[in-house]
Amino acid sequence: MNELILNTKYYFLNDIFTLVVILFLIFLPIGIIVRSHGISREKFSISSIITLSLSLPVIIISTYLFGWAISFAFTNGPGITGGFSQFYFALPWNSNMGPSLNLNSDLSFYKVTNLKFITFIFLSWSIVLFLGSSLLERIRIGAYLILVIVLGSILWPIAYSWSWSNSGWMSRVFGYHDAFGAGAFHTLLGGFALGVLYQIKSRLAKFNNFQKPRSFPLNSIANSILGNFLIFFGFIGLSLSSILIFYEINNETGNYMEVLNVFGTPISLSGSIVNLLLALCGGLFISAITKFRNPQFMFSGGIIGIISVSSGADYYFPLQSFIIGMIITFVVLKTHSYLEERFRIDDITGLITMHGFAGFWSLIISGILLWGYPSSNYEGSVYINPFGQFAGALILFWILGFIPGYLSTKILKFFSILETTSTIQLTGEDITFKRDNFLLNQELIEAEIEIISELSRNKNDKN
Amino acid sequence: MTRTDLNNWLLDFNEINGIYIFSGSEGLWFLICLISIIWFILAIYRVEKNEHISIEEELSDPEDLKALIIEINSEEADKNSPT
Repeated sequence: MNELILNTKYYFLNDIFTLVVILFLIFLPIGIIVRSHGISREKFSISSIITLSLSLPVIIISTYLFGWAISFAFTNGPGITGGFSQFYFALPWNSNMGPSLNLNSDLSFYKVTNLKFITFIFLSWSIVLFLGSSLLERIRIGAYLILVIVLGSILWPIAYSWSWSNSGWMSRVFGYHDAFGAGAFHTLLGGFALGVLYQIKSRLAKFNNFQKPRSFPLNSIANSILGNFLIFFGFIGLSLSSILIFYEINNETGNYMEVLNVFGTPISLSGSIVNLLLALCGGLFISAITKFRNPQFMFSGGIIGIISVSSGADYYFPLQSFIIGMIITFVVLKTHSYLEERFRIDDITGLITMHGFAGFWSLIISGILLWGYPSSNYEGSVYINPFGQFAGALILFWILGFIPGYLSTKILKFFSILETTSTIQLTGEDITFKRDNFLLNQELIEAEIEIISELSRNKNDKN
Repeated sequence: MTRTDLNNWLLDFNEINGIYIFSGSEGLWFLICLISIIWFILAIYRVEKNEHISIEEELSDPEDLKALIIEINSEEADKNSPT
């Protein structure tokens, strides 16, 4: 008989581990912002950073007010495997959300600390930054911030509780398994982005008279490459944030220290990370060849590779991960070009394919390869199977992702508060800074000329 | 460094919960924060709209706009030029 225990003497080590996770996770938003600065055109480069950065205060307060509570409340659907789950300690008015000395048994059971809340904020911020990076140069800041709340504080927490926890109904009903967020994070993001980008117009002059997409000049090639590498590091943080560490398993033969995945089944942390690294390698091989000298997408294969094994990296062998990373990267990069040309979707960073489709395929492939493995340690959970993975991927991409994204953008479009005007898109939003800088410089030059004149007058007077 | 006994409790430790000020009024702060997030988004809309209107007013003449676009694009082209 196995007994799983989180010993209180390891609480401190657990918190240190969470701090390390946060440290890695910081690379994710920084990488996305740096990459966006590199990809956007020169006349939008500063305004792009400002638009993306404004999502931080909105995501912090909205996660505190309802996102964090939703991530606990919806594990049963509600209405699929039960009612609302225990979430009173995550409510914004609960004393546990502030400085409190109350260590009640529920908090110990869930291992909920404010550090976990901070980790969750970084994950939420990253998902909305990814979304924003694909909408830049035409979306209005207010519209983006509304989408930030819809995706980052409502849909993502629901996806998290449905599919990325040991008691989530999807693993119990379907046998759904997603170790490192291929579904809850990437598939959801891709589906939502498709819904939004289907509604929003492409950037002016993106398509030529023959409806072929044009490539735009990059503001900083170095930043677009550096951003990708920072995102790789951030993905390690994303992976580390999805494991439970310092748990003890006691049984007749002894006492073992174990690392668990989010579903509560023991895994090998180092083995999983090696899987992700090999997949990164496979993805980079393919993108470097197929997108040679294309600074925007040449290193995107690393991201696609990691996502492609994220759902099953806890049970793959590293060489399998390498091959899966190569195959999915090839398919995804081909799909991106097709989607752009066929449906005239202006997806600046390739979110729909690089995250959505890669996450989707990741779930399907893991369903086939891991058929029969335990999906969760939760009593009564179904074993991993391709049908469950397919159903989970469909729900995350279409029901939680595409439909809400499409509807919310449609509403914003109906009220004409979604996009900037053609004039602003032509001049670029950075024109305000440039104009202000020009005027300030003029004023400074006039003042300096006056000082020089005064100095020369003083000198003449002395002589 | 301590100079006296630390184990001299003013209150029973089990009775202490939240250690922040104005405990019991959290619902009110919740409402204020909820209103502030709505205010922020509306304010951003208004500020951005005013800025865009001022740019469009300055560039209401298509010739001005054309001249500006040529200038911006030539600057970008210079920046990306290999020589």
